[in-house]
Amino acid sequence: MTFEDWERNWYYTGFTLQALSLVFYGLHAIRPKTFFREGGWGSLTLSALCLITSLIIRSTQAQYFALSNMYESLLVVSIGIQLAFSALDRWFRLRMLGLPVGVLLMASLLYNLSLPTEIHPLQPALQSYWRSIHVPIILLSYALFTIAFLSSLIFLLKDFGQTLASRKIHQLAPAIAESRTTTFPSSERFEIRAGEGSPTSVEALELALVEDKANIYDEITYRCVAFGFPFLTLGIILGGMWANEAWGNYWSWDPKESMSLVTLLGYGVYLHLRVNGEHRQRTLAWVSVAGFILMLITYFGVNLMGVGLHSYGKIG
Amino acid sequence: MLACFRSIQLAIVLLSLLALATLAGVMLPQDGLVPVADIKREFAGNYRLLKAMGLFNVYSSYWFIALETLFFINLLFGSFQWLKPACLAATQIFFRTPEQIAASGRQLTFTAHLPVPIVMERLAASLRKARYRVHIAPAQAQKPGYKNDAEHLLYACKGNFSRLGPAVAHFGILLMLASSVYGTFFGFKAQQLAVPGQTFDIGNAQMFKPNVDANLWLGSVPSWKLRVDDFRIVYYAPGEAPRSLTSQPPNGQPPTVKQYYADLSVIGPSGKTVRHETISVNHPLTIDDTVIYQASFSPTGKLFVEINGHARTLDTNSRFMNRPVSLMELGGGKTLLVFPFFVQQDPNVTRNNAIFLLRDQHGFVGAQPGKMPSNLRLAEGEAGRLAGITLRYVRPEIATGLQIKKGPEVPWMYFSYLLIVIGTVMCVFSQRRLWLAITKKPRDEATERTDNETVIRIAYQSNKAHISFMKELCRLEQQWRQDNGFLPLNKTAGQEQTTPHKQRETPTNDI
Repeated sequence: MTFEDWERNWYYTGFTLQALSLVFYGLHAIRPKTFFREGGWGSLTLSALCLITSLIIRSTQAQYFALSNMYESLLVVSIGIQLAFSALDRWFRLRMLGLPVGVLLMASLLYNLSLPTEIHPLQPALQSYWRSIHVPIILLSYALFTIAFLSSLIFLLKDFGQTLASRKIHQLAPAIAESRTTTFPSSERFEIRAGEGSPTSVEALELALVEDKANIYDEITYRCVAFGFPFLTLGIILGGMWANEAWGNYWSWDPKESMSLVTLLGYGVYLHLRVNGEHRQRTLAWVSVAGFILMLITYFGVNLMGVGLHSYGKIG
Repeated sequence: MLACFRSIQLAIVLLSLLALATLAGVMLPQDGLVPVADIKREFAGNYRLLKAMGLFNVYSSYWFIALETLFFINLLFGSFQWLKPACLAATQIFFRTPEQIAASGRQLTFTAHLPVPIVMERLAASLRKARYRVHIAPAQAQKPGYKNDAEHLLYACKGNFSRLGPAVAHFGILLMLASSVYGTFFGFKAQQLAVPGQTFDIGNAQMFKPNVDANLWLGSVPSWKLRVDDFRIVYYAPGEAPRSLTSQPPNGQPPTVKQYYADLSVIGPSGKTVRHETISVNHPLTIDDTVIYQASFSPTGKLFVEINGHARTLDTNSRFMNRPVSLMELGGGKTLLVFPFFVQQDPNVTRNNAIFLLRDQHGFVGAQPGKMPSNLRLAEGEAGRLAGITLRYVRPEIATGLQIKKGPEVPWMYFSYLLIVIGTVMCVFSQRRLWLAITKKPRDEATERTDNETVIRIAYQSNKAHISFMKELCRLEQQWRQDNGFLPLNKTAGQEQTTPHKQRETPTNDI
């Protein structure tokens, strides 16, 4: 068996485990059970390990850290999503997010199979230790923004569902509807009000959390953006330092650079809106969706153009 | 007016506008990246209007610079505005009385059958274990009338440093902008195509451009000179390249360049070589604040050949059928034509080579209707005979393209980057604060019971990551219940046994 076969076999094993994880998370979304969630988490984590092994074999064969074309970068993004979600799921024990994350991972791993997998020798501009630092950091931020996007989508769906339910209640009993707020301004988020004369306990906090399920997804979106933003900032800065070392220019307004800046500014808007505290969670979720679209243009759109200093990322 | 300039709302608007403007710069062809003729062709009718709007030169257009300036002002004033409250929030230690806690929206209340000092000690220890910094109010801060063993006020906090994150990141951005202004007034860029053996003065390089108008420039030109000792292109050797490359490049593809190397000598003012270095792409030579980069290469047009054993240097001095050609009179009415072809410059060329043709009074030697005249294609170092003349193509002269940059702002720029990264990382964390008031339960007027019962009131606050904070609170509460027998104020021990809360392992499962 050649190195190439080993690499492919590990990839397919990772792919199969990811498919299994999707099934588990799908079942968990329909009928929440610890077994399904644990099965989904386990197979997702194992899948990530298999894909990492595949990447290590590929890197051994290439004689450099295999992160120089679209196939390899999408593989790293997929692994990043798996690892980030794996940690997130352990912490928040989410019911709904596993399914869309699984679908997206399957789509990206399938699409990856259609991309050229040839290993090419590195051109002089890419022969730098900066490549092994700058690129994975940027891709990790993309992975986090992807989860933020999916979380925003779930939030919007749940928010839409709550709005519909609220309207129905309003039609039936306006007084009850008055007491329910579907989306809070962020400054009031999670504010637990004690009942008349009774002190608030932690149970009340929990109840509030469980009742406002959409809030969890808002929080996850924020956490992913808050973690992704420093990674993207660091990645762009490292890219600037690399460019300065290779070409004597920090910034060339190359399409990829410019779009990275647009993405950074987009998520900067999200974080400032959040700090401002006067905006509804729904608005923040839409900004996160817009940020993801900008990220997609940066990642795929500019690569499709195949121009500028980052043309080695060209697809096909 | 000033409030408007430093507002976060303006920051949001400016960030959005800058994002949109940059997006326009990506979507529309930019002058300098795309030839003007192509832009004119694409936007025939609207070209003038769009050009007047600066849309083909977005990043240097007046409105983009105005946006950047406004952003700078907003950042400057905004950062100073937030600095004081952020510092206060990060450093201030203050306590809340039981009444203040009771009036707070976010509060918990427990009771414990333990004396006040013991409860305080245990709570402080438990919070310290959870990595909180615990401050105990001094006696004078207590409400008059209470003794130290009857009431204790605690303030516990963690992640205070995170409040300074935005300020650090913003100052990093400001420093970055200031550094780039500094670099503009003191830095320069120069370019030189140099052949091996050539020495040049940086001030007299083919292209020497201060970063700002020469009249405003405050920088200086280095006193040393540069000499190019050698330039070479190294290709991947057979077996060295990864699996897709076999011993020979497939399908007549040009060989893959591994690296470009230039050997440089730095000649001091006294004429002595003070330094000798080999540079390559990604490995520049740094002398003080000046950096020399291996940027490009280009054939100079000189070709070294041997004609009948005699070394000759030819210049590509003419063009024939739109290709550069070197014409050399050989005497007797004969002219030698040499067409050079270069790797990475001409398609499908795997080695530098040249085609040799001879012309006499009758035209090209060996020319027949519909047939190529006699010609000889020689790669570098190869020799052959053409119409009785022995020819050898020694090599073309290739010049290395050097870029020289003076950037005195680099250390400041890198420091600003460090601040930005540290600031954004600090922002990830949240500031969590707890105010605790531990008091002895007042005597029950109706029953006149004086239980040894303590009331613990806790106000809590987190500026972000609310769910994680609540999970932490839940964990702490469980620990307090299990270890110290704390109970919510309105519950009795009997009720506690049946509360469903205790049966759950984790508080926010399957959301």
